[in-house]
Amino acid sequence: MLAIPSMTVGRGERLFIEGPSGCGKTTLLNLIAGVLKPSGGGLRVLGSDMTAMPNRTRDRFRSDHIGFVFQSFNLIPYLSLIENVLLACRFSPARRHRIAEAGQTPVDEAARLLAHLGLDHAALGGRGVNQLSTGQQQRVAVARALIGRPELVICDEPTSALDANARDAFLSLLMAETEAAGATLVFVSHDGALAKRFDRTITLASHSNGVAA
Amino acid sequence: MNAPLLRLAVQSLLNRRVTALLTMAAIALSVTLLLGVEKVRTGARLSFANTISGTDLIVGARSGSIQLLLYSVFRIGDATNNISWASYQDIRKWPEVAWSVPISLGDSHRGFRVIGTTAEYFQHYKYGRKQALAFEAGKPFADLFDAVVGADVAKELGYSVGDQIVLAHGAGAIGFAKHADKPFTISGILARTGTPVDRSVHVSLQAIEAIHIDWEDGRAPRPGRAISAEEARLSVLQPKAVTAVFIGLKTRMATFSAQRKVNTYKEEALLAVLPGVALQQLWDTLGGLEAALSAISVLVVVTGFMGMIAVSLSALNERRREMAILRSLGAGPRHIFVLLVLEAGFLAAAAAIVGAIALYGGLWIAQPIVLSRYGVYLPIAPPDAWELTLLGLVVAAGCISGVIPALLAYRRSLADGMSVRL
Repeated sequence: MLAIPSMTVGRGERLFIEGPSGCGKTTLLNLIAGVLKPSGGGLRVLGSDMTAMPNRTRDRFRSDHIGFVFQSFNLIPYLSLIENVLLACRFSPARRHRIAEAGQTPVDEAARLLAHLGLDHAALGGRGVNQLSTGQQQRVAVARALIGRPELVICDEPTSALDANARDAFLSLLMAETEAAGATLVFVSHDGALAKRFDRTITLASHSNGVAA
Repeated sequence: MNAPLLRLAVQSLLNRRVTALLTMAAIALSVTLLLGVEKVRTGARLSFANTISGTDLIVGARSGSIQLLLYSVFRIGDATNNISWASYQDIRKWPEVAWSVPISLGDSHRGFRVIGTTAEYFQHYKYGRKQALAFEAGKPFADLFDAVVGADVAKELGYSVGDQIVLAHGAGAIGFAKHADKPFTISGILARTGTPVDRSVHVSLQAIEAIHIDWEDGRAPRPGRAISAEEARLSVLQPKAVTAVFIGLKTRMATFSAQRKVNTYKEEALLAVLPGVALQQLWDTLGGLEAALSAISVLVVVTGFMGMIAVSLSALNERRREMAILRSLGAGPRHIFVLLVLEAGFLAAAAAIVGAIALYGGLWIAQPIVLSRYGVYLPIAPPDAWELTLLGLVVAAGCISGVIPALLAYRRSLADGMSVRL
């Protein structure tokens, strides 16, 4: 049971949510993403009332407006590097539309994002995605989250599988690309040391039914 | 939204290509069996119906109509009784009879039946669509000890025109009593017909008389009582009986009245059958076997799909992460459902195609073997409407099989959302 009296995230804000495991971080993300429905209260994301939407609309809303990066195993093993990134466009006409408006093709845009994240897909593309290092896989996931400029990027412990050096480099890239895309960043981690790089921190208490803002 | 899902389905199958291939192969084999049984069924039925045509009535001693058909046309089993020569002579002179061909059975040559008949046999016996017998080599029997062999006899025993053969008494594959004192010369070899004619040796009625001239009560002559071939030539070789008679009528309108006339013949208990009707009766008696074969092949297909469901279900656990990623990218539970149904459908479609190809390959190899062994011609034709329907049903059954794992994945992805951790 996760109970949050009230919480607001501003557009373009970089929010850090910390808390021990089991405190309901993932539940919160599932709520924002519209995969779970709150049992009570209201939830508005980007001005839309998530509780009022039918399931299909929430799925569509998620694919159009929210990018995700998970802790690990972000990639579909049977798709190539570029196909994993393009997968985000496959389910979202809005993302494809935004790419087209910018005068790009999805493939070019995916290659551009990968290049920005330090991945040369021409060199790596031939390999199965499972042969990439964990850090590389996480960066592919960032490219996928950002393609088509979704307004909100949610990261669920994306650095916990990385060593300290890779973690800092990853975080810098993530911050830079999110900012370049003009997206709001919600970053969840149990590692409070990362908090200093964010605009604001929210701490969820264990077995929480409250939020300290 | 289905085009990207179809791509995903195909790529996901490729990723699990070993299990996917094995599953597909199992279903493809079952499809081959299903279509194969269908092909053999229709092929056998056609061969059956094509065995005799142009003959209006078959007359024999009174027994069952199927039995008469079996021994006179298919050369299976034996006649219980004969028709006397006098009755035959009477019937052949009836005004409605256009032609008649008597046959006399009872001897064999190395497992092939020997038919005593007249030269008119080669003129009037028709098969398929009223095709007459044709000679591959040589000509009908002219001399008393001439024989005309069917295509299979010549091929399997390596005979050519001019070769000498010895007939054996009785119809068994191994005749103990041989008519070795009166050898025959092959005068002609018939072209292949795909009917039991291919497996027959034809000689004249007189020849049948001649080889039995010194036999008493069905036993070989006692020493000192034998009559040589040359002596036999000089004897009066008047057949005393024939086994059956093929009859052509002047008008088909007379068929039923002629049949009644034979069946009520006073001098002898006779039976006349219409070949088409008897063939249908015979086929009907095989109907149970036919249905059993079809049922088995359908069950094999069902087994194939059960295997596919099992494999798909066992893969679901390792694919939970994959489903969660798809969910995070905006795929709804219904997308997950459609993805799994598509995978199953695609596998079934591939199996249907591969199975059909395997069938044609198999037919190509089996056709000559089946034709020579069983006299059944299996045509290699593009799938007909019914076979296409069967293939369609296989794909549909594949999609339906996919529903079971798909429903499970649907419910799980609702419960899991994006939060599966590995």
